Order: sequence, then structure tokens, then C-alpha cells
Amino acid sequence: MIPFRFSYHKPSSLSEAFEILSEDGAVPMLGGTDLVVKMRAKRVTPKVVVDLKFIDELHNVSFSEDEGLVIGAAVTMNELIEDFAVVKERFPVFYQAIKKVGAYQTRNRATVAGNIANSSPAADSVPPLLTYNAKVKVVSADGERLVELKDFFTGPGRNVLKPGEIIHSIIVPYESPSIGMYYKISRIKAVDLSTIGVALTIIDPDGKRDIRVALASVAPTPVRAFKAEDYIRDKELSASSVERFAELVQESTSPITDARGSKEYRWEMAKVLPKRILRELGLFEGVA
Amino acid sequence: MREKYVGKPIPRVDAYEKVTGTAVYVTDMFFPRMLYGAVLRSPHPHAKIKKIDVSKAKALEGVAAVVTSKECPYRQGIYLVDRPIFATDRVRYVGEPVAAVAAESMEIAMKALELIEVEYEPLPAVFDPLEAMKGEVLIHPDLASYERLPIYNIEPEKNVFHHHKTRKGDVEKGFKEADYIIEGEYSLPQIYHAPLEPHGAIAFYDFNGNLTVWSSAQSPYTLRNLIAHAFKMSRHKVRVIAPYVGGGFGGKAGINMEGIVIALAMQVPGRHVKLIYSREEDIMATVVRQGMYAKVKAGVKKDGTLVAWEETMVFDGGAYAEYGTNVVRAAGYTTPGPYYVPNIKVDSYGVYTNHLVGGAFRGFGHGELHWAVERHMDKIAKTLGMDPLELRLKNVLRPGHTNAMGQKMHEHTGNVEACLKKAADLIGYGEKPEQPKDRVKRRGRGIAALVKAPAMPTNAASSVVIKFNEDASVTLQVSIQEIGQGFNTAITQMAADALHISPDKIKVVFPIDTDANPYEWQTVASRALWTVGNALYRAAEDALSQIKNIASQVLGVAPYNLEVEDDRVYIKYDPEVYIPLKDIVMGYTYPDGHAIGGPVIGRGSFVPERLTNLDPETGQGNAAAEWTFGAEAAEVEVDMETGEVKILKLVGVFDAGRVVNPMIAAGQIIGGMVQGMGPALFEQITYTDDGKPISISFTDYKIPTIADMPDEMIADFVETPEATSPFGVRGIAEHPMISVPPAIASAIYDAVGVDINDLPVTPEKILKALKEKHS
Amino acid sequence: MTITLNVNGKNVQVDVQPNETLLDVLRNKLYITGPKEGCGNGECGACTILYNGKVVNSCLVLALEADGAEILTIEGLTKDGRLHPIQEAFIEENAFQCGFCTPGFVISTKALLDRNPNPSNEDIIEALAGNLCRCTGYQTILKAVKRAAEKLGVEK
Repeated sequence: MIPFRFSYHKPSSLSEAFEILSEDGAVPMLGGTDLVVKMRAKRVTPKVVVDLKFIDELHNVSFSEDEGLVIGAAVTMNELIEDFAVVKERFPVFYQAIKKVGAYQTRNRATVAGNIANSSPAADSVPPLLTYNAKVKVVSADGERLVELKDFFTGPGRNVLKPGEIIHSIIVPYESPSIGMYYKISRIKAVDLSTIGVALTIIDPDGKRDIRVALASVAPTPVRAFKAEDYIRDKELSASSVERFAELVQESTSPITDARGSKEYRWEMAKVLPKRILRELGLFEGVA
Repeated sequence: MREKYVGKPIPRVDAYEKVTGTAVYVTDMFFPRMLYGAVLRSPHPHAKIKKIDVSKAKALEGVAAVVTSKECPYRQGIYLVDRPIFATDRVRYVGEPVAAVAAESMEIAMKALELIEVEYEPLPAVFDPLEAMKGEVLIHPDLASYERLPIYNIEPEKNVFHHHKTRKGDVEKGFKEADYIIEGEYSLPQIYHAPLEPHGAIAFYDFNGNLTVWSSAQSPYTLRNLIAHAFKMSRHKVRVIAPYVGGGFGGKAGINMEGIVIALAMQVPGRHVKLIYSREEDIMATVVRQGMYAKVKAGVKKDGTLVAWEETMVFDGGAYAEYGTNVVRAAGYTTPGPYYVPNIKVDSYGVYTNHLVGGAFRGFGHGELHWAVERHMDKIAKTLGMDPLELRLKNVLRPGHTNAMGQKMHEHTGNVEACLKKAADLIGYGEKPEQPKDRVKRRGRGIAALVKAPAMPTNAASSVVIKFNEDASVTLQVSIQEIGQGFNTAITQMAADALHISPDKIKVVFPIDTDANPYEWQTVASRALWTVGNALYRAAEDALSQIKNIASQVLGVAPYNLEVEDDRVYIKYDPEVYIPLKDIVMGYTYPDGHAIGGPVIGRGSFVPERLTNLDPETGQGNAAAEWTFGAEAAEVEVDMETGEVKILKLVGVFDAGRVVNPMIAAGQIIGGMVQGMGPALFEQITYTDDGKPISISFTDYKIPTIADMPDEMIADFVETPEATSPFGVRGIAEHPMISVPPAIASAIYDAVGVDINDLPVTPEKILKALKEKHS
Repeated sequence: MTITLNVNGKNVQVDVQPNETLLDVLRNKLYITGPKEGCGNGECGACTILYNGKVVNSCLVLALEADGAEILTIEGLTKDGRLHPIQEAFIEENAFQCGFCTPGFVISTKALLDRNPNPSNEDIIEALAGNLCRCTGYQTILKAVKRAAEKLGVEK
């Protein structure tokens, strides 16, 4: 039982949703896997819960090389990776990361949009999306806007969404084939929040070889290591260049200590894991 | 004992209920007009309560009762009565109950809690037991006035609720004889039981002053006893009914949260009040395993022979000791575990802090003591340049040796040497594990031994009633709780063999009802098959002799010439002459109508034989009735870059005396070993610097999932029949958890050459140690 | 507000409040007590049910959302008083001890075998990682799932 009263609505259209969302104390809900937990603990106490999962247009998924992957806000993580093979084929790092979100039961409810809107620094789906230059389509009664995912988060649990705005869809541009890895360290091997999560994606590995890195649980928001990426671009992957690259990844982080791990450990792993991933991908021989 | 069913892997008698979801737990029970309870808890680790105002809560529509220490000024406790049901003048941990409400709905109850006003004045708090021993902050200024069993030795000015002393031989003399003196420090944090079923209870108080409590309890009778004691009631007015328990691991032993719901029910006679803890409450406000710090000094000869062992253990008992007093005692009298040392000096201190309350936990002090002992054995082996297994085999307790409290070991006491050798074989000890191609990952193997006896009062009693029904089927009454360990199945097998009938004809009465079932001390200490087995044997003998006495009159032969088998009583030397059992068990009726005998009811009682209290100054005496030895081994893979550990294989071998049901026994071992992995690698109660518990949900307190399971796990047995059991059995329930952490730590050392002595062995600690090693 | 649920093949109408979860309603109003509340946070899987054919933690579903939903709980698995092959497999492999987590495990297994009749160890681990068990150490559960897959394969 949730220990306070609120009203619950399930609009079937966006316009209906916007109307209810304009009420005082209204919050949007998708899968509810974060929101219901927070409400139970009274960390969030909305007066009105607006369940968006009954809006048909939020369930769309499409892909084309030009438009990229468009993921409707209400699409569950399991629907996305089980029903759309394109995710695994074209965005392998994203696919890997989704599999590491919560439990199978959770992923039958949780959505990528919800993971983003919840804006936890530990959100597993976010680092790979950052490396794929994802954008967030935000809609409200006043219209729509496109926000770069890298600009979406403003702090732990905070983001650029204004009252009345909701995520409509996530757009993941398709640039070229990619390889990579999402490496997550957590206390237990499944169903845990990350102590650190590192997504390393190599766009066009056989061509321009653009290495991108983003991390979870090492800063107030998920972060992308642009400086490191700039440094390694067009460079040979040698022991010294990879070392410097990894240092620059590390410098993009500002970890803290919590129940899952210390600041020092996270700081160290922020350097170890990019090297590890490059090595496991067979792109670099060195051992730390 | 003739064995037909003992030793067989028969399916569990509770199987159908459990796989169909029809097994009833307290939380599944509903009564007409039932009220819902909720508890207001302390937000402070240590504070004075200046004022509690419940008037607004009482006035809320739908609130039936509000209770504080004013209405319920009682303390509870099994060994030391130190834990108030509701905080009175002060709170001593975050989560301590301050007030409770019973209302028509859960929602109203929760709302009422918000209306209770409590004014606190924070007090200085202490979280480190070593710090607490300085006595600068006294958590229980009135400790000396608390009721307690006299065997517990309090030191009130040091926050010590029990100081246990073992003095065997002359430890100073031992150190003089030693070639090496090796010292070490070991520690572990508090951990949580994490049964899948949180604590819950329903209470009903009638207008005659009778109290009925349905509780998720491991110890229906002890619970009844402690309720009656705390609430100053006659035992016959208190009835405890205990349906299935969804996991206990010690956390549901003794008395726990029941007092709260009882206090509420007493305010509203004639109405049931239900209180089911949330997971958060279960972690914060029941009990956890005590933390421990140990300092060891061992004297050893060049050849590895232990000659002296000196150890100080300091337990972080949390805000109340209660049951935990005996954890401190058991660890104190068992150290140094499965090894023979002629000269021993152990001081085991239980210390109050403002942490969560420590209490009984699977292993009962032995997970803690073996962490120190087994880690230190590895350190000794390293210092001597000796193989750790060889060192252990050299020093294990053997027949003729005496243990720390001076008890003599016999051939039938159990065989730790055989356990170690078997575990070593099964893990491939001595051969180098095949190393992975990835050079940052290294594999290693480790082994650790263990011993544990039931930690219980000298007179912890059991009883059994065997009632024959008209068709010669049997209703078996005992009061050991089925908490998942498989007791009801195993006792059915034992009863079938003791009565010479088929297990299909036997039903164990369930749920346990103290108004109907006979006395049993508790479902703890891995003692049930041993102690109840003794009572059962006597009850079966009693029933069989009644049957034979009646049949002897009918058949005209001496009772000793009769045998009972399945559904008949026959003459041993002429088996074709028999009477159907069903014609005897209600008494025998002759063709002319006259009858003899009467319903057969077998009765058996048991108390452990020849146990004594320990000498308070030396700890010498006879406190343990039987000892179960074991050995556990691990193979691990350590990632030297990230510090991550993967458990590849776990092995557990225990001298069970006699395995009653190999399928269930193996299940206990596998389950216990995985439960041991958690504290080995990641489980711990964490706190903020100002003493607020952080890990109070399954989001923050993680336990192993199926994904954490080792690739391979093996459970195996040694069977040295236990002489004090007619069935030859001894307990194995707690043991599998005990030495998994030291076996894993040992394997990590074997893999990467670093010793971690503070649990849990996290990736961070391994990395830090690797760095220190290489610098 | 009144909602209609199809629970284990039967339609029921039940009055619910917005702040009740589906688990609250199943247990406290319909007395479907097979699904258990082990944490209320979607972390333990004891409340696992099939919800419109998909396995979910019913503690995280608001009851009002479920209006019109089709729900299968452990109670719906036995047919004509006979155990489902998954339940038989759990007994044969001794895949439970205290039993509190068992309804959730059985339902998660059902969902897995519905979508993947021949799961690998990895598939089983992925499907069951959200169901906590503190008693068994999981080894026998893994075996039970494989045995259940075999049984169901033979049945077909």
C-alpha cells in the first residue's frame, strides 16, 4: 500500500494527458518501477498520477538508417530488445546495458524513457545512449522540443523537464555499425545498481573508428568523456595512448562514496574499465 | 535402530502446500473485524524521550488503539531482559519502537502514526564497540538492575552485557614453549538474515484474559514463555500458534516483535490485530548478526603444533543484547574451534552500541569465531611456510583431546579430519587450478574447517506425543517449527522407523499450537533431530510397549515375543499369528464385546544428559551436548584489475552422524554455503557517520541471486554415528554457512597472494591489498 | 472505484483505491495469497505474477491500472486438482525449503518456459535473477527448471 492518497488517471491521448498534468501535484508515470517505489517510501508524494502507458502513440518503435531508432516512451525494455532485433544488431552496447537493468520482471514494466526521466546517476540505459548521441523528444501542451541526452540531466534525480512536459520518445541516430561493451561493476551479479558502469562504443570500427565513452555512477549525472574521445580520435591504440585516454576518461568523473562503493574505487575503475573494454574487444593488447 | 526409511531421499511432506501457494504463513491469515497495526520508530540512534503526545492519533476516526510504554512498560529478553517493547525514557537505535497504532485499515494506521508527536533530546551515541568499552557513553545505565540468567557476566561501566572467559592450561607457559608467536586482527560487520518472509504476528485477547498469538516464530514455546514473563501472565492463558515460517535463520528465534501487537490487542479485547513488518522494518527493528572484532595471539611449534591460543573477541551487540548474550558466550567457549590447543585464554565481550540490535543468526557466533580462527590458521601456515591444510590436519581435535572447555573428545564425537580430507579431495586441493588465459584473472583454492555444538541451556527440553488413530495411522505431535529445514519430513522418517510403520501413515501435527502440542524449547541450534529424536525414541518405545501389552493378553505370549510391523502385531517365532494393528490401537475388543486396553498414546521426554554450567572464571565444564564438525572449500577467480571475485566452486562436508534424508540434507548444505557467500563478499549493514542505517531495503542490502551461484557446488557427508542419539544423528543446519567466508578468503590468497581479514572481502579491499603488496 | 480483473480464468469485480497495488488487492481483497510481499519494492520477486501474459512484480503495479487485465497466479496453475509439471519438477528436485519465495519462482519459470521451451543456464539465470531465495542456494531451482522444460517438452 502506498501510504497516502492520490488520484490516478490513464489518459488515452497526449492532449488528455497534458490537461491532467496541468493539475497541481501531477506527475507522469510510465512503468512505475521507480515511481511506485519512491511513493511507497514517501520520497515523492504526488496528488495526481498520470499513467502514460495507455497512450497508443507512445508505444511506437521505428528504425531507419536515416531517422535512426525511435523508441516511444511507453515501450518496455523487454519489448524493445525482444521484439526489435535492430536494437541488438545496430546498437549492441545499448542492448547489453538494457539487459543489466533490474530484473526480468522489472524490464517487463520499465521503460527507457522512464529510466531517463528518473535521472539517476546510476541509470544503466543512459551511458550507451550517450555514446550513440541520443536525443530526447519532449512534448507538452505548448509543443515539442528536442533535447540532446547529454544536456538532459542537471543533477541526481534532476533534469530539464519542466512541469507539464513529458518524454515522448528517444531518438537514437544511426551512424554506422558499432561494437562495444557495457561493463558494470556491482555488488552482486544481477539486479543491483551499479557501483560503476562504463559504456564504450566504437562507431564504424573498420572505418573512421570513433571511440566514445560514457559512465554511470561516477558523477551527479551520467557523463560522457568527450575529452578522452577527442584525444584518442585518429590515434593508434598504443600502450601510452590508451593509458592517456583512460586517464582522460577518469578525469571526466567526480565520484562520491556511497553504500555501493567508495569514491577512490570508482575513480580507479573509471580508468581501468575503458582499458579493459578495449582489451576485451581485441583492440589493444596491453595489460594494466 | 532398524533403518527402513531413515537414509532415504523421500519427498518433503510439505511439498504440495508449498508448490501450490497454499502453505499458510502469518501474513496470509485474515480474521473478521481484524485491525491493522503500525509502529512509530525512533529516528535517532540515541536520544531522551521528553514527551509523547498521542491524543491526535487517538482522535482519528478508525483508530482503535494507540500504545506506548505508558500502557506497556515491559521489557523482554530470553537471557537478559533488557529490551523494552516500547522505548521508555530513551531510544537507543534508529528504528526502535516508540508507539504503535491499531486501526480499521493499514492506511488509517499509517496516518495515525503521523499524528503522534514525540519530542526527543539527542544524546551522545557510540557506534564502535571498542569505543563503547571505554564507558564514556553509557547506553544502559541501569544494566545492573536488569533481570538476567546468572551465567551472564555483566560489566555495566563498560557497556559490557557479557564477558565470557575461557582459561584452559597455562597460556603464558604455552607461549614460552612456542617457537613462534603469531598475532593477527580480524573483523566483520553486522549482517542481516534476510528471510523472504518478514516478521509478522497477529494477536487476539479475549474477555477471559486469554491471549492467542499467531506468529512467524521459530520457538513457539519459548515465545509463549517470554510473552507470559514480559506481560506477567500465567502460561496457560497464553497460546501461541505458529504456522509456516518463511525462513528464520535465527532471526525468528525467541521473542521479537510480538510484544507490540500483543500490547495493541490487549487494548481491544475481542478483536484480532495484525502486524506484518515491511522489509525496511524487518532489517531495522528485529535483529541482525552482531559485528565482531577479534585479536588473536597464537603460540606454535616449528612443526606446526599449536601450544597456546589467546584471543579477545569484541562483539558489536547493538542497542540491546537479549538473545545475543549467548552468542558471545558460545563464541567464547568454542574458540579456537576444531583444533586442539593445550593452553587457551579467551575473552569474549558482548558490548552495547547504538547500532541495530544484534541477536541469534545461523551459526550463533561460530561464523564470527571461525572467521578469526581460520584466517589466523592461514597466517600461521604462511609464517611457518607450511601448507594450510597440513597445518589444520596436524592440529584437529582427535579422540582423547580436550576442547576449550575441557570436554573430552571420543571416537563417536565426530571426525573433522575425515571432513577436511574429503573436502580437499572434492575441491582438488594441492593441484594447481587451471589458470584462465586472461592474465588479469587468477584462480585459487582454499579450505577451512569448523565445529559447532548446539548453544543452549543445559536443560533445553523436548517432548513428543504419538497418538494412534482408529485405523492405526499416527498423529505425531512435536513443537519444532518447520522453517524450511525439512524437519517435518525427517521426523516422519524417523518415526516410521521407530514405530515400524510406513511414513504414509504418519502425520506431523501442524501448525504448532502450544495449547495442543507438547513442550519444545526452540527450533534453533541445529539440535532438532538430535533432541526430538531422543524424545521420539522414548515415545515410540512407550507406544510399542502399550501395543505389545494389549496384544500379549490377546495372543497369550510375552510382550517381548511380539513384533510390530506395518499394519500388524505378530508373534516373532510364528509370524503368521498376528492381530491387525488397527484392532489393538484403540484397545482390543473380544468377539463377545468386552474390551481391554484403550487408545495408545506414546509419550517421550528428553533433556540433554550431563550438561553443566561453565565455571565463570575458567569457562571449564560441560556446556555442549554434541559437536558437529565440517570442512568447506572454495575455488575462486579474482580479477586483479577490478578486484571482482567469482566463486567457481564450493564444497561442504559435514559429519552428520547419520543422514536422515540425503536430499534435504544436501539442500541445507548448498543453501547454507550460498548464504555464507553473501557475508564473504558483499553483505553488511552500513550506516551513515551519525549512526543511521543505510542498507535497510533489498535495494541497499543485497543477498546472492541465482546469478551469483557458483558454477559448481558439492555437498557431502561423513557419518560417524552420534552416540547420544538412538538414530546416530547430529545437526548440520547452521554449519554450512560458517566457514565459507574463511575458505573464500583463503582461496583469494591462493589466487593473488593477498589476505583480507575484514569482511566482506570487497573488490576495493582486494585492490587496495594488491597495491600495497606490489608497492 | 470498481475494476474488473480476470484472475486465473475467472472474472472478478473489486473495489479498489488508487493507492493500492495489484498485490494488495489480490492478497487483501481477493484472498489470493500465493503471491507474497517480500519487499514491496520489486527487488525480491515473491509477488511475481503473470500480468497480461508477462511476468511482473505485482507490488509495483497500481491496482487501477490493472482494470481489465488477465492475471495468472500460482493458484491458477493447478488444473483439476493436478499439479502443473513445473510444480512436480520443483518437488522432485527439492527446489524449495521455507516455500515463501516458491510461488514467485514457479510463475517466473512458467513465463520463461512459455517463451523459451528449451532455456540454457544463462536463460534461466536471466529469468530468475529477480526472484530471491535465502534457503536453497538456487542449485535445485536451476535443476527444477530444466526438469520442468523436459517434462513439458515430452508432454507436447
